Amino acid sequence: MSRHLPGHVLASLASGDLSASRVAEAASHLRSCSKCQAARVYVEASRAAMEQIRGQGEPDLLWDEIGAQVYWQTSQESRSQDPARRHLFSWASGGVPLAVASGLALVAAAALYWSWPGDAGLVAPELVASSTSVLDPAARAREKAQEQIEPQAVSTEGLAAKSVVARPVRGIVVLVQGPVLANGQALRANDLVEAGAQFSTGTGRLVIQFGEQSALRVAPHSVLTIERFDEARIALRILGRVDVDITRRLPGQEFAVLAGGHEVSVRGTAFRVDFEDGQLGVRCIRGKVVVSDGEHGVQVPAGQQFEVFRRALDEVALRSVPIDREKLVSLGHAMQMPMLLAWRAPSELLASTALLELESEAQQPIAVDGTYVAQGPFTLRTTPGAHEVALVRPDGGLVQTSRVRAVRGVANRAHLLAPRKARGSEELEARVRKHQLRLALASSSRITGCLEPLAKRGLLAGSYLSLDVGINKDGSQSFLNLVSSNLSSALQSCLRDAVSEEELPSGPDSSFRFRLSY
Amino acid sequence: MMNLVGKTTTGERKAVRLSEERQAETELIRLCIEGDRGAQERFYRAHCRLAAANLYRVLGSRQDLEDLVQEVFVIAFRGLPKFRQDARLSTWIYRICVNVALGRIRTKSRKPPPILKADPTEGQPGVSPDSPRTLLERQEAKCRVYSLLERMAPKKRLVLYLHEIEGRNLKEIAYLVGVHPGTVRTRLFYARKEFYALVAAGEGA
Repeated sequence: MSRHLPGHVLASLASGDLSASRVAEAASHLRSCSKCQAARVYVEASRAAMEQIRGQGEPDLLWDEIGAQVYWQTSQESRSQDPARRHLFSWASGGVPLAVASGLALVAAAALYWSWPGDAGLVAPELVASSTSVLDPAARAREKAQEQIEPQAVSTEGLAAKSVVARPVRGIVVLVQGPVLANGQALRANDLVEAGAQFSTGTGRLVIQFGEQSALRVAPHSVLTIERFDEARIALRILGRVDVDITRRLPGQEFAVLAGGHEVSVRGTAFRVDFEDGQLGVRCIRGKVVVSDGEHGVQVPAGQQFEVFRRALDEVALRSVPIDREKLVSLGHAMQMPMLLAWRAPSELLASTALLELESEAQQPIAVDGTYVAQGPFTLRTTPGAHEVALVRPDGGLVQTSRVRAVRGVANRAHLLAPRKARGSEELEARVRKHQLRLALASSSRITGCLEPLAKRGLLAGSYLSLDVGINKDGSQSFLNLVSSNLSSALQSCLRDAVSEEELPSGPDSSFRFRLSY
Repeated sequence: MMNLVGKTTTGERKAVRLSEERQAETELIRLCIEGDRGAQERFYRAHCRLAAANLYRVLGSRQDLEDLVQEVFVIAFRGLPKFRQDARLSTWIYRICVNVALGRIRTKSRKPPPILKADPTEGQPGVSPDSPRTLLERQEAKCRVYSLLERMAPKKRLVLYLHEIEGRNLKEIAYLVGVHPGTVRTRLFYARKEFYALVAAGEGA
């Protein structure tokens, strides 16, 4: 045996794993070696500590919240893999939202999806509670006592309208970005959303969730009024833009977006409604919607958009046309909205979720847990626990990833710093933005309308219009200046107006010269 | 094999019980894969504390423990369709815990874990009858063990922990870490040599 006993031999001696002869040798050595005696004490102490460790139980953790997080994450993954809900988009999309389609005053019907016996009107709802204010504490107290959010399954056989009990639906704010007013006052992220509420977004954005995988997003410069919000019918009035993503309604449940005199009704779908200056645009990326003028109806299935076209000199008709694939990809990407996947009673959700307040340097777009949310700064409702936050590059890649912990009841703030720009990046960003704008204008019906008279006379070839364009981070235009053109001033104005309506996706701010040539 | 008077033996009863447990596990796994939320909840509730205890003992710290438990179950639910039931469900989850812990050990910077700040009675029912001095000495001893483990390479640290602390045999360790038993034997030899050399030298004391 060596001069001193190695530690692992002493450990084997302590555990009784040495042969008899080796035990005798070790014992003999230990009798005369004080250093090895000390080492033996250390080894035995460590083994005793290991025994203590082995007997150690689990600490008390937030078991419910861990479980909710697990469910949320696995549900999100299975949702993204579900072919029925797969959106046709990729992070590398460089497309842009489509131009708003023009339309006449229309009345949409939901006749293709359900029928009402007798009176086509809605059943007078038996409201369990009524509240016209999103800030009404009395309504919240009633909601606590009477709330039943899960819709009752209703048989499709011989359904009588009056059997649908119109229990109120309530929503929660999942994302608020920038200044948003609720009934004229600053919106608070912890307010419940109820019938009668009106939201004005200004330069901000808002996402409201009101059911399992059912939410709506109000775009900037829009006003949304919740005219009705119960299990029989949800009716939203929009001036501006709203994106909707809802699960399939049960028989007896209606969902409608009202835009002027128009109604877009759906059963279970993801779609976008634009209504501005009397012009209606409807794009469907999942499920189908129905748009009607009262006489004729048009189904707009997934991947198509609603369009009004001139069949004859004095005859307009409605049709559904495919959305260009690149634009569809871009639209699907743009319509992604954050949702809490484990839906429960809103009051429970408010109590069990946490708010993340995220800011980014230079207001860059931010992704949370790998999913793009919005351009910073914004407040996001999420499950408590650690979340990965990152800045989003124009190509969709994520940079500056870090972890942020969301704790209930406290302000969880994080500020993401933008990476230093590489040389030449401004030029690259301008090229990206120019490409986005070109794609957006490629199938603009407004542009086509401007040039149609000239094209009919065979005078379009050789025409051009040159503009200086400034794009903000949120995709809106900061400036649009005419540089030169060989077109008439009327046509210049028409084209300039068409270009000014384009809104690009969030990305870097950029300015460039843009030329439309024919 | 029935005995002469027709009564089942202890071994038979145990075999029947094990078979019933296995069937129950199979059914639970099937429901979880189908997305039955109730089954998933039961799955989680049945194993969450075990997973937390495993991770806590391996890492010696409750820092980020909730995140790690979450990670274990996300991996478990993802991997359930491929689980061949070649081991008990609890063993399989333990294997996931071991690998999650290994991942954490690899990314964590080398510094003594804050176990000394933990409540000495943590995880133990009731309050210890030992004196505060004894409790403190025990805590210090545990802290010493973890601080020495921290110095070791992750793979060696893990096999040493599973053998010396958890008392697992070579075959079990091989399953848990996903290597051949021969590899475990070699790794364990060098791990013990290194670890106990530090202990014997009074390192960490």
